Amino acid sequence: MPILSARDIVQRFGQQEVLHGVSLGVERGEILGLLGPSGAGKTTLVNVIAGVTEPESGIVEAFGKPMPSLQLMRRMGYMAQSDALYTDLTAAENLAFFGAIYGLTGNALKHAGERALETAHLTVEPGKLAREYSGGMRRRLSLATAILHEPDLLILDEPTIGLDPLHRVDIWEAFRQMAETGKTMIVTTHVMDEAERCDRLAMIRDGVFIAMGSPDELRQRAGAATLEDAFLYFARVEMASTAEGGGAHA
Amino acid sequence: MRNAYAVSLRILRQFKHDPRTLFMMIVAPVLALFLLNVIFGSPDYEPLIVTADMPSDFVSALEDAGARIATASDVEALDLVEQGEADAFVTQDGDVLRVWIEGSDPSKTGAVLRAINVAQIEALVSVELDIKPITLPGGLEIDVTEYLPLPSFEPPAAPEVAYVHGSEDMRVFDFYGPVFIGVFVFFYVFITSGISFVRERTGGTLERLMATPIHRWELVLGYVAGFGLFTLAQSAIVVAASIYWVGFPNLGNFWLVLLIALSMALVSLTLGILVSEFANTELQVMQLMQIIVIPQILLSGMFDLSQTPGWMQMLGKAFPVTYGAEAMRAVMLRGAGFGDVAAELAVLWVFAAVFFIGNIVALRKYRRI
Repeated sequence: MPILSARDIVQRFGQQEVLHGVSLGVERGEILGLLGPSGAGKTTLVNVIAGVTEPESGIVEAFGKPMPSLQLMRRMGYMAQSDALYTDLTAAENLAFFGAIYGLTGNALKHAGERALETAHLTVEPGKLAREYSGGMRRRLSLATAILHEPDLLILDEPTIGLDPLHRVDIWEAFRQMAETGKTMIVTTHVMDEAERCDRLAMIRDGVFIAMGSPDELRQRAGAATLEDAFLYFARVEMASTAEGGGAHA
Repeated sequence: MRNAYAVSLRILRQFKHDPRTLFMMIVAPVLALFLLNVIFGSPDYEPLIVTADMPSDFVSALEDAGARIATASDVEALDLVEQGEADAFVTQDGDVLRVWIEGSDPSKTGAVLRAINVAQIEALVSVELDIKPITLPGGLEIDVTEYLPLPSFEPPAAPEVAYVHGSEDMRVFDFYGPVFIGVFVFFYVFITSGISFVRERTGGTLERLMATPIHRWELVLGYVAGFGLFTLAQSAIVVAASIYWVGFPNLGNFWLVLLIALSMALVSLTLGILVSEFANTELQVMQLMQIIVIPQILLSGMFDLSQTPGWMQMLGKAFPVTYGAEAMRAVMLRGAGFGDVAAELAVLWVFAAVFFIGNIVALRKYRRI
């Protein structure tokens, strides 16, 4: 049974349909990458999965139960595309606030904070406000607040955007370690070398999945040397099929 | 409940790191009240009246009535009034008193007319009939005033005035002061809470919170509790400074005044958060404030609405500030007790409760549960 499944998700903002009925499933311990250009609907989809917005139609189930549910959200972690930090608080105060909402206080909070910062490869200075950190440091602090309560399912929206390549490598190693301990991850990205590190990829373009499979599988099916070429291949196939079908999603 | 506590703690910590806002929220209203108090507490205006060819009795009567006097020729005097350097020009044309008034400031016009009225009565009273005794042939003098009934110009005796509320010493501003206290607290709390919640949206933290197991009501309650604690301190300082430092008269109980101010702050707080739901930027909060807060202040009863059209009076009654202003006046000017303003307080709390629930409902936009 998948840890998370989404079926026929349609999302609309005003007149514009952003997701045209997408479905996916993620198994325990798996890192699923959502790969697509900006505007493809990645953030909209992860927001629906995280329970932050309600879809127009479709069903999301986490741990076998329907979302949104506060009980299930307790076991999920979410890192937004924006840093979503209180920039007028210190790093420790940000961690304390998000920790408190998951019931972490006192020593438990202290230990969880230290672990999360270690995973995010961030050293914080006491008394320094979040707005005084560099963009990359804020990004890592945002990651730390998302993994603080050791969620079983982690939803990460462009987690490494704006990061030093060295930190990016370190953080992906941390993701891999978490996956090995049975944590499940959904990661959006538009960077091909990050996509390479995922167990499975869902290529998304204009609100539909154009391909799904492991990076190797996708390259093979497309007969392409790189994921980038594979993406182009699947995008062209999709465009051809919609043209034939008379614009099924229009 | 625990999450509400976490939210309120976080808000207080944010205040702690932002001493400027803290300072502004407390100092700005006190400063504004102080300035108003000085302006309106100044002595009455003494009009500058230019006279030409007026009897000296009348001129000294004008001076007694509180006017400053200058003399000039007709042409010069009219020129001074035209330039705004004098408030009025008074001259006599036969039996008729002619007055030219500068006229652009009604309060100065009023002062001129009051002084002239007083002077006319005084001049009349001070007229002494100079009737000489008649000398009859033979050297006998008869004082005819002993035999003739003479008209009397005794001024009417001053009425005996008793004040049910207030006193002779009450200044015009003392009537407005209590309303200003409430209005300023309302205004500043609205700005701070509205902007703070809009930041939660623009910074992405609201969305981020919606991905956590926090209940919508816990978030709203946390906001109200955190800001509420802060506005309690703010209201206490503003009310105490207004009464004990600026010197507003207060015939009622200090704590009751504080309760009313705090109730207005709570309405403002919940309304500010609710309004920020409809704003995407801090600028838009300020724009919405102009529609939502300014009319409330104008129709709060600060100015007398009893002669305005019915719809305007109804509109005033639909606004929470009106009830706060009325309660403030009742307590500070008339020494009303809790029982007298319980109805107004109840209305304020109902408004706060409705806005509170409105906030919880508005957050459904993000998450149904």
